[in-house]
Amino acid sequence: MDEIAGGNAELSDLVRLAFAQSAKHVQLILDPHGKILALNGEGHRADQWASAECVGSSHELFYSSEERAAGLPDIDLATAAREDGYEREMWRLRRSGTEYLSRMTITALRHENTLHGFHVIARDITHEAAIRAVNDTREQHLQSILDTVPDAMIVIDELGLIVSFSAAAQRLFGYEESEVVGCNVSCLMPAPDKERHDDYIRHYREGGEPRIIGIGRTVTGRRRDGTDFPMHLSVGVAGHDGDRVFTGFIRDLSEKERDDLKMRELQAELIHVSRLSAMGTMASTLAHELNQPLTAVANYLEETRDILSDPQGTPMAIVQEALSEAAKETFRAGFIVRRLREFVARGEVDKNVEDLSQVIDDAAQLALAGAKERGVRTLVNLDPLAKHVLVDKVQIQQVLVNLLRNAVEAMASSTVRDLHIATCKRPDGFIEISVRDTGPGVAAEIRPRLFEAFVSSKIDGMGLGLSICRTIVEAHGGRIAAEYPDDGGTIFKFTLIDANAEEDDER
Amino acid sequence: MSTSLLSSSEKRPKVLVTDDDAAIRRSLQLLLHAKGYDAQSYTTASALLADDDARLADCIIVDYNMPDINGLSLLRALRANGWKGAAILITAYGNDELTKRAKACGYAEVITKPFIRRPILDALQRFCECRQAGDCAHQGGGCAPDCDC
Repeated sequence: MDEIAGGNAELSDLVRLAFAQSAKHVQLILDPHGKILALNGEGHRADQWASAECVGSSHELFYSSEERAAGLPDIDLATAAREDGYEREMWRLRRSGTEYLSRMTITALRHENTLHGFHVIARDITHEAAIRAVNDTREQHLQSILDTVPDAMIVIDELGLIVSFSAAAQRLFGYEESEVVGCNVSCLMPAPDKERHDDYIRHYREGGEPRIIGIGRTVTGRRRDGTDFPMHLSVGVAGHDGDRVFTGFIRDLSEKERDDLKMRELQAELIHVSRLSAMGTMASTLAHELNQPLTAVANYLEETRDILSDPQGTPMAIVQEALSEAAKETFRAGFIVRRLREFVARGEVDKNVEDLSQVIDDAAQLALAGAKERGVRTLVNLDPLAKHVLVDKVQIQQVLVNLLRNAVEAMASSTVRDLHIATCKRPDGFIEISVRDTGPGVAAEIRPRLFEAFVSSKIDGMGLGLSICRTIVEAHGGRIAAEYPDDGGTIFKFTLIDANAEEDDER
Repeated sequence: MSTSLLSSSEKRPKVLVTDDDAAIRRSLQLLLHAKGYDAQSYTTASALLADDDARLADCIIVDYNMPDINGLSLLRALRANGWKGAAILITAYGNDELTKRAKACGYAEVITKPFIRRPILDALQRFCECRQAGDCAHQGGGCAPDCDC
C-alpha cells in the first residue's frame, strides 16, 4: 500500500482495474434496491454474463426460479443491510441456464449511515461441495457400520483420552458417550491395567513391541456400576507420531463365560449322577455283603444265649470263642459300612427344600439333550400348587434322569413320540410326579418285578436304574409305581414330601 | 465405497443433466462431479437446447416429464442438430411402453426413480469404456440404425 500511497487517484484506479479484471469470482455492485450497477471481469466472467445484458436489471437474474418465487433476492439484501458480511450458500444461474453451487457474500455499502448499495461476491464451491458430499456419504457409511456391529468400539488418542465411544460401547459399559469423551480410557478397566494403561501407551509410542495392537487378547472391563466382565479386545492404530489414534474393538465375553460355566456345572452334575448310579450298584452288592456278617453275629449271639440259659458242663472257652467270633463279624460289618461311607463321602446326601420345577428343569436339561432331534416332543404340565419338595436334589434328579432317558429310549421306534412330564399336589402331604411315554409299554412278565435289581426289558440294560430309583424315592419317604394305560405307553409315578404341606395345615 | 475420479487428470467426460426437480438435479450434479465427470445442470430443457456448449456433451441425463419440453422431444431436437452422444432418460413413471418409445428415440437407458444413483453411474461408466475402446459403432450406444429421430 505504501508504494501507491502517493496519490488517492492512483489507488481508486487500481481498485477499478481489480474489479474489471478479476474474473475468477463473480462480483456485482447493486443499488439499494438490488438493481445491477456493475459486473466484474467483463468478457471472461465465470458465469458468462456480460454487462450489457445485466446492468439496469434486478439481481434476481442470478437466482433460481424457486428462490425468486420465495422472494429471496429481496430478503438477502434486507438481511445484508441488517447484518455485517452476510453469507450463504446458493445455487446460482449462469448465462447458459446451468447452475453452480456458490458461496455468496453480500456487503451493504454505507456512507455516513446512508445505504448506497451492495457489493456481492459469489465463489463457485461445486467442487468442494462434491468432495464434502462424498465424505459425508463415507462418514455416514462408517457411522452406520459402527452403529450396527455388535462389537463395541472405542477410539482413544495418544494420551489415552477417549475420542469416540460407539453405541454398542454405551450399552456394554453403561456410560453415555458424552460422559466419557475426554476421559482417560483407564476408567473402563479395573486394577492393575487401570494404573498401567498410560505406561502401555507410552511403551508403544516409544517403539516398544506391541502387546495388544494387531494381536487381540482377553482382558477385564469395568462397567459404570463397578462390576467387572471378561472381554476380548483388539486394537488398531492409525495416524502418525503425535497424531495417532487407537481404535479398540471389544467383544463381551460374559455371556460366553456364563454358558461355559453352566456347561461345566452340568458336566459336574452328570459325573456326580453317574457316580451315584455306580453307588447304587455298589449298594446292592454291599447290602449282600453286610448280610453275611450280620447273619453270623446273630448266629453266634443266639448260640451264646442258648448256652447261657443252660450253662452246666459247657466250658466258658466256647462262650468266649463264640463272642469273639461275633465281635470279629461286627468289625467286618463295620469295615463294610466304612467302605460304603468312604464311597459316598464325596456325594454327601442331605435333604433341602427345593423348587420342584427347577429340579425337573435341570434334570430335563441333562436327560433330554438331543431328544428333540430324535423327534421327541416334550409336554410339561406343572401343578402351580406343587411348589417345593424336601429332597436331596441330586438324588431326585437321578431318578428323573433315569425315568426320562428310559422314556426317550422306549419311544425310539414309535411313530408318536410324546413325553409328558406332570406334577400334582396331593391332599396327603405328597407331591406326585409322573413321566409318561408313548412307547410300546412293558412286557407283562416283567411288570411285577419291574423295580427289582437286575430286571430289564432293555437289551443292554443292567436292570439297576429302576431299582435305584425305588431306593432313592423310598429313602425320601415316597413311593414309586408304574401304570399301563389302555391307550398304550407307560406312566411312572413317584411321590415326594410336599415341603409346603405343613404350612397348609397351619393355615 | 466406490472410488472417486476427482483426482484424475485426464479429460473429464462432459455430462449434462436437466430435471425441473432442483433436489434431483443438484444432487446429481454434485455426485457426477465427485465421480470425475464435468457435470453441468440445466434448470430447464429449453435452456439446454439453447446452449451451444451442450453440443460438446458426451452424455445427457434428461428427466422425461418436464414442464417446457418432454425428454423425448428434447433428444429428437438434439439429434436433429447432429448430436451423437449417449442419452439417459430418468422418469418417475417407468413402464414398458415408455421404455420402448425412449429406446426408439435413441435413449440408451431408461432409469426409473427414485433409485437412480447406482444405475446412472453404471451406465455412464459403460458409455465411457465403450468410447475409450472405440468398438462402438454409435458413440455411447446412441442412435439405433432404424431410429427415425
